[in-house]
Amino acid sequence: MRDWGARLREQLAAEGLQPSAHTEAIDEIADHLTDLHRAALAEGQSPAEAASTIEAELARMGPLALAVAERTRKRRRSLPDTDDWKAGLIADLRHAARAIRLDPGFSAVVIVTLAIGIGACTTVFSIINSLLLRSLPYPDPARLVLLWETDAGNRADTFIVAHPVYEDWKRETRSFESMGLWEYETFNVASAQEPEQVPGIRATESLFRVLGVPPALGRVFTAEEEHPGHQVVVIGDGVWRAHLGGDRNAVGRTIRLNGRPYQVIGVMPRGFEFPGRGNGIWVPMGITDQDRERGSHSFWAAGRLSPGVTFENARADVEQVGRSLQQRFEDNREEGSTITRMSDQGLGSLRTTLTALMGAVALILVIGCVNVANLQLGRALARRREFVVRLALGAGLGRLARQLFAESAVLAIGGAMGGIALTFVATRGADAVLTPGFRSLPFRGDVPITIDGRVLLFAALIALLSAALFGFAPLIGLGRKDPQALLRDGERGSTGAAHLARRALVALEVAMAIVVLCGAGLLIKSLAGLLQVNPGLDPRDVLTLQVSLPQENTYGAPVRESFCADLSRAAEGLPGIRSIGAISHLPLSGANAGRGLSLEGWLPPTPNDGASAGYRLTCPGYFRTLTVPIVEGRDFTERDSTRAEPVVIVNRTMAERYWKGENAVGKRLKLGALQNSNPWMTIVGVAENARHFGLDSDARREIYLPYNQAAWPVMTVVAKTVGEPAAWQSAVRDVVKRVDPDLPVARVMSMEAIVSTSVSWREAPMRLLTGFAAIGLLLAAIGVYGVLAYYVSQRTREIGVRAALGATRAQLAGLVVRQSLLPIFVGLALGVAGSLASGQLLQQLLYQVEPGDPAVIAVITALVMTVGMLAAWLPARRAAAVDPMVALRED
Amino acid sequence: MGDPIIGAAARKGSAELLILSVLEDGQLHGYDIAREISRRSDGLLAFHVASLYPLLYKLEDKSWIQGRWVEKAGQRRRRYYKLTPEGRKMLAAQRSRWEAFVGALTRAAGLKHA
Repeated sequence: MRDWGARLREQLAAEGLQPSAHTEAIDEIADHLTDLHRAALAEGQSPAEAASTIEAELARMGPLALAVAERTRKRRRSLPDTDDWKAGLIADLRHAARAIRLDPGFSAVVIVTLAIGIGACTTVFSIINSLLLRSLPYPDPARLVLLWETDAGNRADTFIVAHPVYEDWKRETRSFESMGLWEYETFNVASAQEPEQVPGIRATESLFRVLGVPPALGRVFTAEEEHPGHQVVVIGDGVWRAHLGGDRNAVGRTIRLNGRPYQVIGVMPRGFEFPGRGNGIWVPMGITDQDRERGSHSFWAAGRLSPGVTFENARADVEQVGRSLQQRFEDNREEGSTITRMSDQGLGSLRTTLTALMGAVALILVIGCVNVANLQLGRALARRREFVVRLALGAGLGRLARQLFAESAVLAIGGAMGGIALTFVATRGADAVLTPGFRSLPFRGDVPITIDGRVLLFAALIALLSAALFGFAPLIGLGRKDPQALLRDGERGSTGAAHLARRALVALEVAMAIVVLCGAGLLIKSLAGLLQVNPGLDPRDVLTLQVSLPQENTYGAPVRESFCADLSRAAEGLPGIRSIGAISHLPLSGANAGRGLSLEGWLPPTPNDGASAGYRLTCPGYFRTLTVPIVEGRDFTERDSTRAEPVVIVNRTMAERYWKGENAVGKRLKLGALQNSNPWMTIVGVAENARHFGLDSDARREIYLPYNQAAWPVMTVVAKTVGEPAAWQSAVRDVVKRVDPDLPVARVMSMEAIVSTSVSWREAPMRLLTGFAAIGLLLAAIGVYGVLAYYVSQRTREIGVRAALGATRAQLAGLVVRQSLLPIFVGLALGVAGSLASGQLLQQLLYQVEPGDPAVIAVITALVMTVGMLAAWLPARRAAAVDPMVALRED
Repeated sequence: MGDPIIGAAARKGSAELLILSVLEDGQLHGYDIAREISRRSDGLLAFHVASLYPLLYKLEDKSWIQGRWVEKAGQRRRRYYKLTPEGRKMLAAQRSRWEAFVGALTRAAGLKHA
């Protein structure tokens, strides 16, 4: 059918009218002519007759041209155009909805693609939102800070606080409404139920004021109760339910903590777990004489800023006091003071991880948008006629762009709804992927990953952004030519620019897929490399469980001197247990302690460079159970008791550091300063290095003391079992029960689980990034496929001619595959460059792998080539199968 | 508007009357206006595109009719015209003038009633 709009335009132009200035009028009249023409045909006129009927209408256009010009002139003068604009927008949206209904297949593909991209982005954002952006669960959380002592030269090197310094801060700073102090302790809670280990703290009464959370029942303790002798306790909701049956009258009842009766004076509300997940016991701080030393850094300190005081001012205030203390006290000579935001605690590596993940999902979304843009370009050729005509009628690129944006926005809204649905599913599954190590944050309790208004707003924003990204693709190639030219070759469309654009887009998405894939590859290689690291112990067939052995004085003589002997006796002769031992700070579990040392006959090079080492207590049998060889001397025995000579085992790094070239066995060392009254301990053995701090962290200096001579309130029992340790869980529990039926057991885990938990913060981002990379690769493959499939469908005729002229199937397939080679190669080059540049983002998560790792790049390149070729092969096969006769008959 | 019943204004007004009348029962787009006039006059009165639209614009200018773009499900976007309250008053006024004119013409020229 003829385009009467174009004809009308010609006629009006012949009358001297500039048609592009009068689109509305021309649209309207063109419609009229089209209707007339259709009616003429319907009445039985021949096409030629119908056309001449319309031509008759078009014969004298003079008055119409004048009226149209006049009308436009009048309209321009009185432009109350907001209404028009709104009406236009609504019309655009309606038009868009219709266009989408007309092509449900296309729309479905677009919406699903966008849903995947938007869903991935929104999921990562909801994690960021839940972990990083959500504030601490206390009133007015922006005013909460942590106070630290620091290395005098380096504010970033913070350490926990000595009590006298805290007192000085309280007296001398002016920025704080309140300040509190606490110390971690694990409590054995005994009740009618199974004894249970519950994390708790000893705290000053002021800490509750700092946090600003009142108890749900009863009261918190008073300053008076901080003095020794007050056996009162505030318990958490969990302890209240588990041990007091959720009794509303629990206040006043007694529970036994570490074997001693405490009176419950208050119950904190559900969800209050300060200072961390699972904390359920708060007892008053009892300050001992040892705590009053300025050198005794034992406490955590938190403060609430006075209203109106900025963080920076408060920091300046505290640092000023720190400098003053430095002047006044010998013990503070090397120390300063500072504060950090409580909300920032423990976020460092998480922030990096989440930034990297956000970068990855943003790329996935862009890849998705590129795919959609490609689809749009393909479809745009079919709609070219519509655009060209509208452009020729003077619609203007801006008007067309608005129309296209409306269409894209409607699709993007569909995608956003799908994406939000995916996010709901994904965040439900986040618990499985985000291991607790990745998710647990200080001062927040358990952080659920949830979807709130902010997440929804984010989804809406990126949906609109995507619409903008892919929406305007069909305009490519329309802007540069004048409408006349476009109109002339309108039927076929000018495929050159669009085809080029589509191939450029494929190159782009291949590049982006490679960036994400390389990121995932680097993380996989890091983790694989890390799991290959020899931890210096054999975690296989080892069961570990924690028991707490309360010690009034942490560093005093063991209250249960016979613990180790009882343990090995209880396990003796049991069929499933090959050996048993215990250690205070299990390797890779995150538990560590360090002590300053004095070595006989060794003087530190400078006074501040004294000897020090990690401090661990073991029962005889520990080294054998974890297969840590004693390279010189001997392991502890039951004879190493409080009545025998004090002994110590050092690790190889320690021996090499202080007794290089000598035999460390027989040398003596003591805890603390040379002048103090601590006894000298004789080194009886040198143990092989084991990695205590992490697989990625080299062994440091360690000393091991026999538990029989120096106690620790929490010991981890380790048992080498015959085969699968889980099968022997109850047997090992029974052993502990035989030692003491009241000892609560916690954290029953295999040593292998402990090793893998120690790398779990790497594992979660690795898994997520791998998942995202897979999605990216799939989308890029779809992109390659889409472009080639379209190419084949457009060239069926040409391919048919070639087939008719004797081209072989292989040649035809090659012709198609060649189309994909250039974009894939360009994409590869760009992608490798991009991954080198972006690899820095991942640096912190990498272990002995550099961002430009050639093996990773080679594997990813090969993978992308293979997938790209597969995606190209399907359309190529179709090209090879083109029947020349059918192809030539087409069109 | 000039008051003499017989005059140039009235003759020209016949086209206006036709348009206003067909819009009395609801809104129509340009093609339908022309078709409706043609239908009601058994094909005797027909508008050409080149004369219909200038008239529509003029009536719209006088605010007797109002055009707006409407999009209906499954159809092209079209510009529909409807009578404004003022247009409705003008229609009534013109009708009575034309009735008087036609009555006078009938009597004076000895025409038969239609």
